[in-house]
Amino acid sequence: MAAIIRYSFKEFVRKKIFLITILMSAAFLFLYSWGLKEIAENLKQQSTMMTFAMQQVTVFSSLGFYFSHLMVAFLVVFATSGIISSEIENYNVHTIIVRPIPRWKYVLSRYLGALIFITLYSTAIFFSIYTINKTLGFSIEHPISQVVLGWLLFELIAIVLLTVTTFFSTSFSTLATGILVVLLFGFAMIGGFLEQIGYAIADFSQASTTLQTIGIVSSLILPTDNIYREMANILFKSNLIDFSTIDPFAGISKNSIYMRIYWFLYVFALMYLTIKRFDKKDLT
Amino acid sequence: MILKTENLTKEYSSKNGCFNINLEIEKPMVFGLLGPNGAGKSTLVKTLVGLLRPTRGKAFLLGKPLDDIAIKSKIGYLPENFKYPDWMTAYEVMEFHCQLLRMKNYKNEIYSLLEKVGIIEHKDKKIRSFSKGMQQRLGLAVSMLNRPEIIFLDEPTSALDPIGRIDVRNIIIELKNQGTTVFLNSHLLSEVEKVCDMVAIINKGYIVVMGTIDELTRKALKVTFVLDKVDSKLFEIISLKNINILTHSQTTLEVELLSYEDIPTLVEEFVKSGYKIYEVKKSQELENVFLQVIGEGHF
Repeated sequence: MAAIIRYSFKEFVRKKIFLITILMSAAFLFLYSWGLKEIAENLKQQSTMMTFAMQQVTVFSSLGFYFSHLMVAFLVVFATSGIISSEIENYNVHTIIVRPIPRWKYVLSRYLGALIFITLYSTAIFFSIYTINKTLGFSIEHPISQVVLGWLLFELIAIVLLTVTTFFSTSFSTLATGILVVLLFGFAMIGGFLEQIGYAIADFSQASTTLQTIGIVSSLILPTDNIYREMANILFKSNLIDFSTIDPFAGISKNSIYMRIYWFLYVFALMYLTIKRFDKKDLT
Repeated sequence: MILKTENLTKEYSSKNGCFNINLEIEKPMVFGLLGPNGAGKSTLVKTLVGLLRPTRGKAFLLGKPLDDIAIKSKIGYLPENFKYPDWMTAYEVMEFHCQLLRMKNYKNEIYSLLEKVGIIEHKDKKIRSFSKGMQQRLGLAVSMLNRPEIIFLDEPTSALDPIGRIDVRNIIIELKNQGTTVFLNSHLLSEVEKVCDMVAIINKGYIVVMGTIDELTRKALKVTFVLDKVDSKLFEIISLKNINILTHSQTTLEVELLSYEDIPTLVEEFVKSGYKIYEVKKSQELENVFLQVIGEGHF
């Protein structure tokens, strides 16, 4: 199993898309630091209302996390959409499956190799943004446990997406998997925005209920946006001030314990189905 | 028992796949599987190595059912189509497979196998720089790791030049001499005829003929004589011998003989009667059987 995990990890690290992502991430972090520094200094000098200035900077800081979670998502999709399918397409899997390794171990090892790769990248980008926000923007003082929780939720987004990608990759071609996961991710994002709008106009009409329902359904299909908003709520809320309510990238709605349990069930159930599917698959 | 199948069936549709395959290989040998394109050869091999799940029937390798993971460390497989990761070197590919096989101290075995297949000087080169033939040689080396008891070779010479084909033939013979059973799936009848002890011909998913090369070719001895002339006197000699003439031209005569002993007898008769013989060609016997079996359209 360790051999396949190592092999998978090396394969993903060598992909051109990873190099491109690293270069783009560096460019993004540079521009983001510069922008945040300028905004923070400008607002501190001009605004007489400290809270207003903090709000503006916090929204910009939130944008940093939002953009970085998009980069993680796209890296997951473009680097791992062939996690199983490309191995089938180039027949490399034929040389591996005939070895004394159960099929479930093969799938799990490929998944773990990709998971290590994605986790390293997303951890680096998360703490880069966190450090930049803390250093250049206004820092909200959190206990370390809250930061760790935020980071774990950031990782969970990548894990959910990787699990969905692996699931589709056992049944569809690399291209089809990539398209399907991007579409689903976009669907979840739009669903999340509609849900927030629904909560924002809660007092007005039936429309708010419909929008909230759309959001819940999209979260059940792919809970990435839902998890992101939970993470943003944790990172932009302190005991004194809650900035999440004025932040379009965070969330007004709060997740129930059932939804939180659902995220984990989602990952385990999908992984179970992936393994079952691959176990029965004919490798023609 | 090295290999046994009982009505093994892999059905893609009512017409595609392989159906009711009954094979038995009791002792180490080179077993050839022949058949036209789409006959079900690769389907059968892929089912036996566990890439395809059988629809019906049973199969046993080295006395164990196909889903027994442990037997997989005793089998080797060279697929017809494959592509190793192009960022790996030949040595890394071999090393990766050694790890999958849980082998220890594998360095010498890797070197020895790469030497055997003739690519030892390319061991540190990336696969992306390998030609198809070199990849096939590497695939052959990978399939021989851990000294398998049975090795499945699916079209092992399809990308090789004539020298490569001779090399592969010699390797197959060497494997057989070491006591390894080779299950050879090939289009090249001449190759199969040269190395196989037993042959099965598969058509439209069914095994239509099976036996040793001798058993299969006994009734198919076709010989062509190239002479200075073919005339009525020659036909008389032939008819007296009760030999069937297949085709003839002004200088060639193709006949069907009952035994090899008929060849020198005929040559002697022709020379005695004043004919000059320039060439005596024995047709590829297995090819004749193959064409006959497939041509007859058993199904």
